[in-house]
Amino acid sequence: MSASMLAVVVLLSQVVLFAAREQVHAGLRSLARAIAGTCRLLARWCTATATGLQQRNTDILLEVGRIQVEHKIERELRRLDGNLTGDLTKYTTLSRDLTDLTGKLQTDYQECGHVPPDPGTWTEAVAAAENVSELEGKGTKKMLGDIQKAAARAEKSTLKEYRAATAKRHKILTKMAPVWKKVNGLVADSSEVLSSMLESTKKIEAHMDEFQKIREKSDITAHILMRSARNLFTVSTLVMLVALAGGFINFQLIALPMSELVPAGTRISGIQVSTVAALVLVLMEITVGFFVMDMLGITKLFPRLEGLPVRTKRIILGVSVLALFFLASVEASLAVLREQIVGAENALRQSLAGTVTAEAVNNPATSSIPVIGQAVLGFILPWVLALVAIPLETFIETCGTAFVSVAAPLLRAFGTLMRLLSYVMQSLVTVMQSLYDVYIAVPLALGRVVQKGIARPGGRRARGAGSPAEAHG
Amino acid sequence: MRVSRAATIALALATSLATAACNDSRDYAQATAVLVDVSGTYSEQKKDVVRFIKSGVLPDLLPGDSLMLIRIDDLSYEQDNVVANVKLDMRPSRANAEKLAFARSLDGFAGAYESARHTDIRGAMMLAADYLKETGASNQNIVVFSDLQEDLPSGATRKFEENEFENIRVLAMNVKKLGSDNRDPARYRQRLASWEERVRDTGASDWQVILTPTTLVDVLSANRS
Repeated sequence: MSASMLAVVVLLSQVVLFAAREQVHAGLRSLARAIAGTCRLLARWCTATATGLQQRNTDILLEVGRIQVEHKIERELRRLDGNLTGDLTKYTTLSRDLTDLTGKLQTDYQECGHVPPDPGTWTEAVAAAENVSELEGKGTKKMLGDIQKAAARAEKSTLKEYRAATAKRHKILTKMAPVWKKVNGLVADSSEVLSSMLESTKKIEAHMDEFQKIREKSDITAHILMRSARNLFTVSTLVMLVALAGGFINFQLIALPMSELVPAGTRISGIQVSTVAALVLVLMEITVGFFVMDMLGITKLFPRLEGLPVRTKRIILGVSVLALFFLASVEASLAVLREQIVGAENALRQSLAGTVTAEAVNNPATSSIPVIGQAVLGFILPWVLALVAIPLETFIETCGTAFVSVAAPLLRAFGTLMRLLSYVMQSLVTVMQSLYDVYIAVPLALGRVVQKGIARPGGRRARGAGSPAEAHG
Repeated sequence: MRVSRAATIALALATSLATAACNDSRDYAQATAVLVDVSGTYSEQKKDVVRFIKSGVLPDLLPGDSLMLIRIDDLSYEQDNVVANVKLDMRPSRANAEKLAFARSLDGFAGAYESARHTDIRGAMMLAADYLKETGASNQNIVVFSDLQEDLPSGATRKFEENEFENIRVLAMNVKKLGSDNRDPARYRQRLASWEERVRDTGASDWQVILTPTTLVDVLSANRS
């Protein structure tokens, strides 16, 4: 294309673009409005959805927290009630025992308190009689001698009585020791019950505080509950992953021997029926575990089962445990079979390679340690897998919160991005309009000059006609 | 009550249909026909070939797989040329016993002295194709242990049908070079090229020349669908 040709094309395009300037500008503005409007709408939707999700999540968390605290309070109250009922019925007996024992102790104490008369004055009289002079007459001396004898006898008798009384007191005191121990024990029991009650009341008080905070729906409480849910989600996910690995090992343990039990050559979606059977066996163990955990009251995966009578629950629990035992036994036997198959396979390879005789293939000599190990593993793994119900329930309960924790910030970020895009689009259209005008700058300038030229005579005419409106047009 | 019963029947039907839809009727087993040349100079290789089949091919077979050994001699398109044929049981324990029995047949074949005057490779390949088609396995292979120098007796006619080797993979294993090949390798290559053209024209899904036994084991396991 020659330069003159190019110049003509440019000139023509400038003329055409100048002629279509208003329409193009209007079109660009409309496009900008449409895109920016859509972006703003999306941004608003994202923000509203994020807020709604968070609000709903907070409400759910608070509600769940409230229910949990209610259950805790209920449990503590029930425990307290049980303690009170049991202890109050015992209280009458306890009180009577204590009264009897204290009465007995008082009586014994009083009995211990009786002291025999003091023979001190008689002793002095006897001593005085001994000091009487022989000159004071034989009659008096004889009388005093008699008094002395009588006093000595009385002293002897008093001492005897005193010793007997002391021995009796000692006997009573010896009998009092177990009574004291009993009283001590009863008092200790009472204080233990009181401490337990005090502990329960403290717990109830703490739960009530928590309950009050949840009812107030404070941000801090919601934040704490959210963080707790996130932690639970992380822990349950980790445990689930470990359980998944356990399940995989379990599956690998029984997949090969299952081909001996389910030898059909058919496949389901390209997978051997024996492999599917092994997978089903593992899943059955997990399912039975759900029922066991629900019936034990550890999980509540099936709320309908919660309302069943205790007798029915016990029957379901018994059947589930029996089924689990059966499945574990099957797995243990499959694990043994697996070891035999692997042993035979190895022996066959060696035989075909010419290193082992054919007899060894039919009776592969293997150590019993791997067999026992695999059998034990096969028996234990189903019971371990049955426990998956606990982290699974936590995982299900907390995955909503975890989802909101991730989704809400993402939605907000997307909303911000949309707002930014809206602003960028508007600016871009302005830039495009300016560039458009730059390209047609020459015809645009000419157009303005012509417009001014037309406007001036018109203006004079208008001024001459005295009509400003006409001049403006 | 009637509605719930209808719903139950509908659910049962839907479940049956879903199970039937998932049920895969394809045969995923592998069928392999090993053709062993017992004519001319290749007859000396028989023991090595048998040793390789026993240690390389047989142990890797899975329950449900088929394996047959066909002798290439003067006129190979007859039942007697099938030295051993086995379709492994689905139970691993029985499959092992069958592998052992097959290995014993191979030992008998290796121990017997035989040397054919002519080499009817195409007859053996046609026989192998017939047997392979009968197995219905999704993965069918013909492994030829030969120098691929055909020498038909007079009066014998061998012509492959248009779809003779449809869905069959032909693997030429350990193709022994003749004295003339050593003098002029182009002859050897020309011979291989003509065989490739022949089997590909008659519907073979693949043609491969394999030099080392380990490669054959790898190829067979890689081709297992």
